[in-house]
Amino acid sequence: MSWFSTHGIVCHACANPAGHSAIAEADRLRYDAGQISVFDLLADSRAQIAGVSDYLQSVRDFWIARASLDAALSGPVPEL
Amino acid sequence: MVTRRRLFTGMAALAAASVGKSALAALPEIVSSTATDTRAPLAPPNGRPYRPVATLNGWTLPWRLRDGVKEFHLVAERVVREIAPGMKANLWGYNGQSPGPTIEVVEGDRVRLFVTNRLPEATSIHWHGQRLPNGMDGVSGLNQPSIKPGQTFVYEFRAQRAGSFMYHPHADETTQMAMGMMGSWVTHPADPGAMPVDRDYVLLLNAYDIDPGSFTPRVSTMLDFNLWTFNSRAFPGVDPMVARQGERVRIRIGNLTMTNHPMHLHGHEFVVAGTGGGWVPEGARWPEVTADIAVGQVRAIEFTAAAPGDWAFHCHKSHHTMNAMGHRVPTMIGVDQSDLEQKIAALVPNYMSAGDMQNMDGKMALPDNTLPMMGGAGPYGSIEMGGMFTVVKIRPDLAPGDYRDPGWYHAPRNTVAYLWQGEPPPIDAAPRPR
Repeated sequence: MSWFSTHGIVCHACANPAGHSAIAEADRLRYDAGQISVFDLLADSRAQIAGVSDYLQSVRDFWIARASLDAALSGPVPEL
Repeated sequence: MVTRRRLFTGMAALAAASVGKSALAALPEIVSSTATDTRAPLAPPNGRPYRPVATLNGWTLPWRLRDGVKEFHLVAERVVREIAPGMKANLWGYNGQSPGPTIEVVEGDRVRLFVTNRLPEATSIHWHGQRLPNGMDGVSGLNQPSIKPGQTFVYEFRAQRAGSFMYHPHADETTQMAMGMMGSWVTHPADPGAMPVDRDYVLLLNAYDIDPGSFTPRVSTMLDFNLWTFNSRAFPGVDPMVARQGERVRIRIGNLTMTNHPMHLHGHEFVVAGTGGGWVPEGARWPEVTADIAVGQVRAIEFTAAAPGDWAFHCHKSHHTMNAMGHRVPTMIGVDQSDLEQKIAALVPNYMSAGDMQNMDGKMALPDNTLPMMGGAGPYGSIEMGGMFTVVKIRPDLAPGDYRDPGWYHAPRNTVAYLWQGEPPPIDAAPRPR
C-alpha cells in the first residue's frame, strides 16, 4: 500500500466522526427506550474517542513519513 | 363511519374487479380488511341463528351459503399490522390481517373452507381441536400435500362440537406462527339458548420478536420475544372490552405463543366455563381470578359484570405487560448516579439517567418503529403498562350491544385512593439497607 492510499484512508476516517455521531444518536434513542444500558453508551464513547485518537496518530505518522520521504528525495545524490 | 356491509361489499367488488369475475365464479369472494378496531359482531344473515362473538381488534369472516354448506375463503398472504399506534409490523396473516378473521359456524353446520396461498412458501391450515376426517386435519405431509404458493386447497367437514377453536398452519410452523398466521374459530351451540351470555369476546395470545427500527419479526426466536400481544396488538393499542353492569360476559382466550399465560381479571371472580375440549359441566367449575393458559389451549372464562369501573385484564407475567425493552440491561437500583450524570453527559450528549426518564412519562424520543416499554395515558397519569394488557369497562348506562369505548370511569366521590394530608409518619431512624 502506497503512502498516498494510506493518506486516503486517513482522510476517510477524518470524515467519519459525523457518521459516528449518527450511530451515537441512534444508540442514545435505544438507551432512552430501555433497550441498551449506560455501559453500552460509554463503550460507544470510548470507541469514538479511540477512533479520533487513532486518526490523529495516523496523521502524525503520515507527516513524519512524508517528511522523511521529502528529505530522502531532496537530499544529496549518493556518491557513485 | 363506513358500515361493515358497505365496507365488505366495496372490498369484495374491488377484489372481484382485480382478479376477474370468471376466475372467481366457483370460489367464494375474497373478503379482506386491514382495519385494527374491534368490529361489531356479525349478525348471521343466513343459516341457523346464534349470538355472534366480538373479536378483540378483529372481525368475523362473512361466508357464502351454497346448497346448505357454509363456504369461507381464507387467503394466506403478507399483511401489515399496526401493533399499536407508532409501530407497524410486516407479518403473514389471512385476508388482510394477523390474526386472520374469526370463523363462526353453528354446531352441525357443513363447512367448506377454500384456502388460497399467496405466500412465498408452502402452507396448510390445521383446524385445532376439531373433530374431522383425518385428511382434513391439515398437517402437511401427514394428512395432505402442502399448499404450494399460488394454489388453492379445499377443506370440508361438519362442525360437530360446539366450542372455542383455533386455526393455524402446520407447515414450516415455527416460522409461520412467528409471522402471525393464526385465527380463532367459534362453533356456536345448535340451541341458541344454550349457555347464553350477553357479551362474547374472542382473542388469541401471540408474541413477536421485532428489533427496534425493523418491521419483520425474527422467526428464529424461540422464547425471548419482546412483544406480547392480544390478537397481534399490544397495549395501548388494545381496545377495551366493554359490558353493561349486570351482564354475563364470556372471554374466549386461545394461546398460540410459545409459553403459558396466567390471565388475570381485576375486581371480579370468574369461572373457566370452557376449554379447547368443550364446555365444563357447571358443577365442575370453580371460582378463579387468574386462569393459566398453556400453549395450544383455549379457556372460555365467564363472569357477571357486577361492579362498574375500569378493571384491568392482563397476563400476570409482568414482563408480558411491557413492550420492547432490552433483556440484558443491568440493574441500577441503589446505584447513586447523582454525581455521575454530569460526567456521563460530558461524554454522551443528551444523556439522562433511567430515573429521570420515568418522570418523562414515556414522552422521550424513541428509535423508529418501536413502542415505549410501558405507557398508556390514563385518567390519573401513565398506566405504565404494555403488551398483554387491556381494560374491562363496566358501566350501568351502556346500551345492550353497544361496544364503543365509553371513556374513562368517573368514580363516585370518596371511592378513590387519596393523598394523606395529615401528620406524616415518624421518621424511622433505624439503619436501612441501601
